[in-house]
This record gives sequence, structure tokens and C-alpha cells, in this order.
Amino acid sequence: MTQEDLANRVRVTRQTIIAIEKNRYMPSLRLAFRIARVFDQPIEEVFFYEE
Amino acid sequence: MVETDMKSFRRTKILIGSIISTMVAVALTTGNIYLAIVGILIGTLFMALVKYRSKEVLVDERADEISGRAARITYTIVTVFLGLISLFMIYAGRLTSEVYLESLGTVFCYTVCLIVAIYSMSYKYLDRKYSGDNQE
Repeated sequence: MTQEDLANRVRVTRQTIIAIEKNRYMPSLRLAFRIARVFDQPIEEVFFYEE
Repeated sequence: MVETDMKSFRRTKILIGSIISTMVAVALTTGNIYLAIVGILIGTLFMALVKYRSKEVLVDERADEISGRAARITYTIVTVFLGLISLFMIYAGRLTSEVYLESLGTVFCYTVCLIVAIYSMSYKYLDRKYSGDNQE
């Protein structure tokens, strides 16, 4: 799946996906759940939070 | 296809911005205020139409966050800068008995008050809207 495909499926811009991948932007819970749903995975499998 | 849509949207945005700027510049040069108003109105309308017809996601939560931060920085800079300038103008106007300078300072001062009032009202409205208190 390309960044563009993912962006289209979760209704955000490709720049947002790139920013999330590079750890420059922390997505909202809603977007995080949407992305996890696209990959059919629980949210904690896709996102990790470190203090 | 999506990239092309985004690129054409950006090109259209730049084109509309250039047309509006040209029209306002011509209006200022010729002293025709109606031309400036018509130019801005048509440009805004056309831009809204392009946004409405575009199927591409143009604004998302990241863009919202960025514009919020940019707006806050702009608000801080403009209010502080304009406030100081207005104080200086009022003070200098009183010292030199320049009525125009003092008047301009007063206008700037009221503009700062208006900006602060609008900011406070919109902040309060949005704070209430997203606090969840109104849902109980």
C-alpha cells in the first residue's frame, strides 16, 4: 500500500502520512484508530508511545 | 491522478491570488475602490467553488493544527507590535501636537482592542463547543 492509498483511505493528505511516519506529527486518536483499522490491527500494534 | 489534482489546485490558487493582487494594485493606482472590492469578491467566490468541486482532501487535522498555531503566532505578533506602535504614535502625537499622528495611533489602538475582543469571543465559543459541558 502506498502513502497515497493510505491517505485516501483515512481521508488525510499524503503530507500527514509522511509526517506521522517520520515522527514529526502525532495523530489524533480518531486518525490513529482509522489507520489501525485500515491495517486490520489493534492500535497498539501500529502506534507506540514512549515517554 | 491525486497528485495532479493537488498540483492543479495549487496552480489555480496561485493564479487566483495573482489576479486578485493585480486587480487590487490597479484599483489602488486608479483610485477605484469598487474594482478592488469586485476583484476580492470574485476571487473569494471562485476559490470557494474550486475547493467545493475538488474531490481531494485539501485540509485535514494536521493542516488545522498548523493553521491554529500560525494564527496564534500572528495574533501575538500583530497585537503586541500594533499596540506598541499605537502607544508610541499617541505619545509622539501629543508631544509634537501632531493631530494626525495621534489619530492614527488611536485608530491602531482600537484595532488592537477589536482583534483582542474577536479572539477572546471566538476562543470562548470554541472552548465551550469542545469542552463537552453543553452535552450533559
